[in-house]
Amino acid sequence: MTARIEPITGRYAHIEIMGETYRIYFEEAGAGIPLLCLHTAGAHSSQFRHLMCDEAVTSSYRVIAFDLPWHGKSNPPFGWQDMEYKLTADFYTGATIAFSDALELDRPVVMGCSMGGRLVVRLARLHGDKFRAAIGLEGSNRPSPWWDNSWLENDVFARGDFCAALVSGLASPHSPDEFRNETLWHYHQSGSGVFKGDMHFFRTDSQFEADGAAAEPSACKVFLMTGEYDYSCTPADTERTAKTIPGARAIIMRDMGHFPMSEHPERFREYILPVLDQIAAIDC
Amino acid sequence: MLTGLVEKAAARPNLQRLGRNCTAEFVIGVNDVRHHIVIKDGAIVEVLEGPFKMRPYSFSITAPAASWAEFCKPKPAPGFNDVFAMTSYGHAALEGDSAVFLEHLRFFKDILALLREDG
Repeated sequence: MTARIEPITGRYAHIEIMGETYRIYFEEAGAGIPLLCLHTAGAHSSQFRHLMCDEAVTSSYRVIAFDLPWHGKSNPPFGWQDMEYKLTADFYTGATIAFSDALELDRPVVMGCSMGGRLVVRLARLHGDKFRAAIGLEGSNRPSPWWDNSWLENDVFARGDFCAALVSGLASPHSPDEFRNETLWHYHQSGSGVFKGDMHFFRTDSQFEADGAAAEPSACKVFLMTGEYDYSCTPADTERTAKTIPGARAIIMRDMGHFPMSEHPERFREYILPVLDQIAAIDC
Repeated sequence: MLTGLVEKAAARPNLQRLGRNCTAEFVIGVNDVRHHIVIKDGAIVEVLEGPFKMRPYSFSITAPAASWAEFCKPKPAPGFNDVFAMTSYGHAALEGDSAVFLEHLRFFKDILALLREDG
């Protein structure tokens, strides 16, 4: 065989989330500490493909990423054609914990990007005992609007090419064209209305700053890592959020944008490998 | 910055394909000088420099010359690499009928990217 086959495997699991069974697609590679990855709004698990092909990661981590219902190759619920998709904080939290429990992951490290990074902040606060560490990529504790919410009523939000163009500037000009454009292709692939549905969580139902600063350190280690080119979750948003979580560490990534794992995998590993090494060294 | 914009756009068949359903006029403002970019069926047919007396347009993107200069660098500093980065940080203003801008968002962003090339 002459083809270069990647070490990633993809499978489907039937998982109950808040009373409904979903057919969930997930990919994984490696063995060791489970590293559960959450993709961005309107995208899917392929964003983590580089980590899954990096032996420096997979030699000690089992990297797992699943497509949220409605995304990628995961199905929407039965009857989707008669409903409007709106992601809520409760469903997102429930889906993540249900997936982890169903696969019997032992206190995984949870790492999410963008809306996944926002969820990680909440998971660390409310469910820290279920995770050995939480890594929020481009994550903060509240929406930081950079476009008007009224735009959501425009039908363009149902178009993948629009979603890609909306977020294109969030990728850094220092990222390789190949990977920046692949990242945007994921937005082109998004199902009609899915990005908009994710925005319900990201713009409205994730005002976690209202939880106030935590009095105690989270049960898990918390890392918030943000690219300096990110104007959706700015470095200032991240540093402000880290101050509300005792023991949390904020890391600002130079020359990086909003999609570190997929837009600039080589640069990202310079930042993520030391964090993963630090987590692996913690006696759990 | 706007020198040769008509020709640069004309040299890109894919840009015209993206904007083939777009006929509009929008404004790029540099300090107090307003430039009207006239588009017909995806082609930039004219770039007109003001001042104008109530000439109609769809939307405007205005910024100080220093902000546009940073935007036009091959690798702009954070906050200047995209029109939304500039509006988000207050380096530029997007005003007018944003629906036209959103309908053809990739097309308009690609036109702005042409400003980065030497005329």
